[in-house]
Amino acid sequence: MTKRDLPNSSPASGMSLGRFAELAQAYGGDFERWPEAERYSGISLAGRSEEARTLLAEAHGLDYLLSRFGAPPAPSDALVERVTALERDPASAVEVSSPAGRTPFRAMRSNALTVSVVLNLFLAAALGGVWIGSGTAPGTASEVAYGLADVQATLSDQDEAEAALGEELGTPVPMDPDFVEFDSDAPDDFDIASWPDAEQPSIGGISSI
Amino acid sequence: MEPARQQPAAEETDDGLVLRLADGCDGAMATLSGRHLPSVLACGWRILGDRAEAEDVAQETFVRLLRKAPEWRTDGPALRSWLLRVATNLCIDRRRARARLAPMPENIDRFEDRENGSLDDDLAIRHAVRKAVAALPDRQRAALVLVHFQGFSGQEAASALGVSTEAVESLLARARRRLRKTLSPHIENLLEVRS
Repeated sequence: MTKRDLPNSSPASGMSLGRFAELAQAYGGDFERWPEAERYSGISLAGRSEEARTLLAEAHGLDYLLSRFGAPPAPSDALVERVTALERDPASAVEVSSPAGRTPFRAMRSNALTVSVVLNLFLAAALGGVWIGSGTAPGTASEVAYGLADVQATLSDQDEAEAALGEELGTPVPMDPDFVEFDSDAPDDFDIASWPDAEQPSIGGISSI
Repeated sequence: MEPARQQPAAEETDDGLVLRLADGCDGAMATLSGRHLPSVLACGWRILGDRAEAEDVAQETFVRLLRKAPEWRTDGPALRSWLLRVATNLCIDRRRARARLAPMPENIDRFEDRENGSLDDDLAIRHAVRKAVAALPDRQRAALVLVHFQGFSGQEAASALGVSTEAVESLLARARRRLRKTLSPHIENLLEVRS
């Protein structure tokens, strides 16, 4: 059963209260915004149903607030000139700045993070021996694994955010591998050399080749 | 000698003007921008909350029109729908790019009406409304701007956003639900004043 077939349908008007609610919640209280094919059924139902009028009044409240958004700016003379000039000289378009531009600093930060993770992994392997996991991970490997998990969790959070955005957009959004905030001044938890002595990895218990 | 190109008449249709634009008719762009630049700019401003960025988007939209003109189909979407679709998608691209560089919360303070110091009630409501709209997810905000402010039908908005009409209704309903929740204190005040 669709929402259009809710029990409280109103056959005389051709529109159910459920559908009326959907339209009011989507298009608001002004019938001019409703789909033309359903507009008059909606008006008819509002004339006969107190519930429909209540739904409409609620929608009008939000419509009224949205009307306070304010008037948009008029195009400036400079913009009109820029657009009009396109016809005579398409190359005249002023290059627009895009926030998507990847700044060298940002690229450097991303690369620095990558290098940092790789170097620290290498250091962890050197200190702990090379562990080929089978069975339970001993202490050192766990520490390294937790560190890795932290990095992966950071990436995973970004991934989820992007995925949520993709869901919102209805299209899958590929994850941007550079989208990892990196604070060069923050302590690097992944730098094993900076760990307290008690937490320094021990070699014992780690199988090595 | 090359014949002089005729200036477009004021009553020339949009499609006719785009075809003239493709032919290099002097004045076609001026007429088209006179008709559509205000709504393209308004759409961008409402979605982005920033005049300078909205102007960039408006210009880029007309650059795209210039490129599209030679292959313009008169049986395709109306020019206004096409322009606002392009502008909306450029805005969404910008928002997403901006979110990557400077994660939310962001752009509401870019609206120009905060320099007056203390906000009176009217300005406070306007600020709250703009802030609530700016906080909507991109597609919800785009659907709301197209349908509520730009006068698009659900079907036109669906075409602009590349989704079904049902999906647009869902985006609109979610947007309005979220706005109602965010703005509930103002709605209650409003109802009290009216009653």
